Amino acid sequence: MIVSDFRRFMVKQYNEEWLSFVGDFAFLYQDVLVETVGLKYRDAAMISFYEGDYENFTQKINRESLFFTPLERSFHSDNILSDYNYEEKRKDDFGPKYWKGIVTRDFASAEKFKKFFDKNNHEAMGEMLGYPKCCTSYFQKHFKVNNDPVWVNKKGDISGHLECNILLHYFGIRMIPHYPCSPSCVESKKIGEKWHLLMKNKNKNLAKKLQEILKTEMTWDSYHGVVQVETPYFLGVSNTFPFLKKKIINWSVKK
Amino acid sequence: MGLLLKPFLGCNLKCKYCYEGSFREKYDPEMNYDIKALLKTIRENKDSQPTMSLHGGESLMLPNKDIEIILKEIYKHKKKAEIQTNGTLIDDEKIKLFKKYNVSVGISWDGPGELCAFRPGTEKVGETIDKLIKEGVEVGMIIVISEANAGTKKKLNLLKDFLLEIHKKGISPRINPCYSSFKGLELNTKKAKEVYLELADFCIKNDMFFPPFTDIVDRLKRNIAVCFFMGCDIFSTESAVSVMNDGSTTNCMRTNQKYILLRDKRELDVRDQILRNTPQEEGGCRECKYFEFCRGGCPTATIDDDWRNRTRWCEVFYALFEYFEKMMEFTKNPRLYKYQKEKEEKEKKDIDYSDHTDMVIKN
Repeated sequence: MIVSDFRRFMVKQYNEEWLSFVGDFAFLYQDVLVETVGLKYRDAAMISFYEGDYENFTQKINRESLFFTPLERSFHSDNILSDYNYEEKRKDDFGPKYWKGIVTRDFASAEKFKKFFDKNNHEAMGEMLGYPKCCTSYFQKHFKVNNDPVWVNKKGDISGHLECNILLHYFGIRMIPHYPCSPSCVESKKIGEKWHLLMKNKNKNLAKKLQEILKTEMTWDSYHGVVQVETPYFLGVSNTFPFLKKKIINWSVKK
Repeated sequence: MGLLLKPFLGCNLKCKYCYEGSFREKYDPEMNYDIKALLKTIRENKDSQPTMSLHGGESLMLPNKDIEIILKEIYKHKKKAEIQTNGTLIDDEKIKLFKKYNVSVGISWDGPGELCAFRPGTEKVGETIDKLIKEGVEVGMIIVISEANAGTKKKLNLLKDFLLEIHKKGISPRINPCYSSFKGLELNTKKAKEVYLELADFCIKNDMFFPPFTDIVDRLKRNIAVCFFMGCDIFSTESAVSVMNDGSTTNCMRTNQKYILLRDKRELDVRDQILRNTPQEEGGCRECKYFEFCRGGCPTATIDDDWRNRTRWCEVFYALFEYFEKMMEFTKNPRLYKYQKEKEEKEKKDIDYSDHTDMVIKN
């Protein structure tokens, strides 16, 4: 790692409304992240949140008959292990400020997950998190080298399913919780469609806006440990895996 | 630089290397500013910004009544105002405004005759400068060093004469390098290095201390200097907050080549981290002995035009740092000492002035 954890999000002039959309997306995504466990779409959800929100968050998921098991405290909101929550509240870099853990329906699942987590068993964790097998294998293979494995073997013009677009995952703008193995992964698309339905039930307009932005042509430009994602409305910048040579992805949706 | 008010990004000239040129060509800006929003932004920033300046585009293309409204508001908060202009639209009416609102007029000009070949239409600016000085208006100047005024030995000699001339008139210019992606405008690195070293020698011999030379000395002394050497964050350019036509704030316009990206108020040291860790052969500054003084230079004039690399003028500034470091270490150059003393005196005067203003307001 050559650049410490950071994220910034800047809108182009006359597109200020995107600032609030992004905050709202993150909340909507987090709600669905938890809901999918309650609905038995999967056994566990990995989540990270600001330490000041601990009480509110745990009370909220307890009301849904779920519970949170902490795995570790971290210095940054986790954008590596897929379930990533955009958090603006960090005031400084001193001391760990985030809780990372799992939401499950029962203690046995939490205990099981914890064992996999301690052993770094991504395939088993991926299964509990409901990720497609192909994507879990992909993650297991590449994460050892690249901690932000966005289609590691692809660059240039790429088209895929909008559900698979995770180029904006740093900012909480995403429809699926994992790194898809390819931009046209069918299993990931299915998950995205299911999750989008849940999002629509919660906030129709916002879910539509999410669909709109993931469809939009954008450029993902990674170099020297910093990635810039440019859309017609805004530019997002985050730390990432430090490529020495520039890697650019020009995204469009598969027709 | 402080707060730069840019109500109109259009210009009456077409200077070949203008850093707003590509933006202007793409968007053909209209004069449709919201003056109330601009004044509101001035008020919001009156305490956080040390200076406020009417900028452009060409700032003096605005109607005189609007120029006055803006200058009056700046004057109200700062007791002085600044303007950056190409100088071609200055007339008696505007000079009256400058005097009324204690305006320091910064003129962008590269010298007389062929020296200003990249700024067509500015041939008579010299006369305007003389008039401003005669009227007692404070004048500053930005000279852009390019192929037009330093590309040959003959041009460089003319430029030296011009520097001597304006120095006699009491003008202390900033000698900025030309950064342009258009071919044939900026000096190549080798030539630029020779030109700047020659100018440094010339200025010292003639008792003239202009930026960037003063900036380099300042940085070697670990003082604050121009933004170029201060580790600028491209998304939150602290030294230049630009106010757009709708009152929104963006960064230094050099950062907005393709579109206007609104400013992130948080300043981060991400570029420092990248450059410190990236090998020099990969565009970084790892193990460079001048990194702490130079911080990789301006993020908008970089290798491959990518802010995640160091400045493409590294070689030039490295040579200048070396030159002044040697001079400071071994010769104890009295002129540098003189410059430092003058600077301290000036800072002292500035403090006295503001104290006095404060007392007047209180009374």
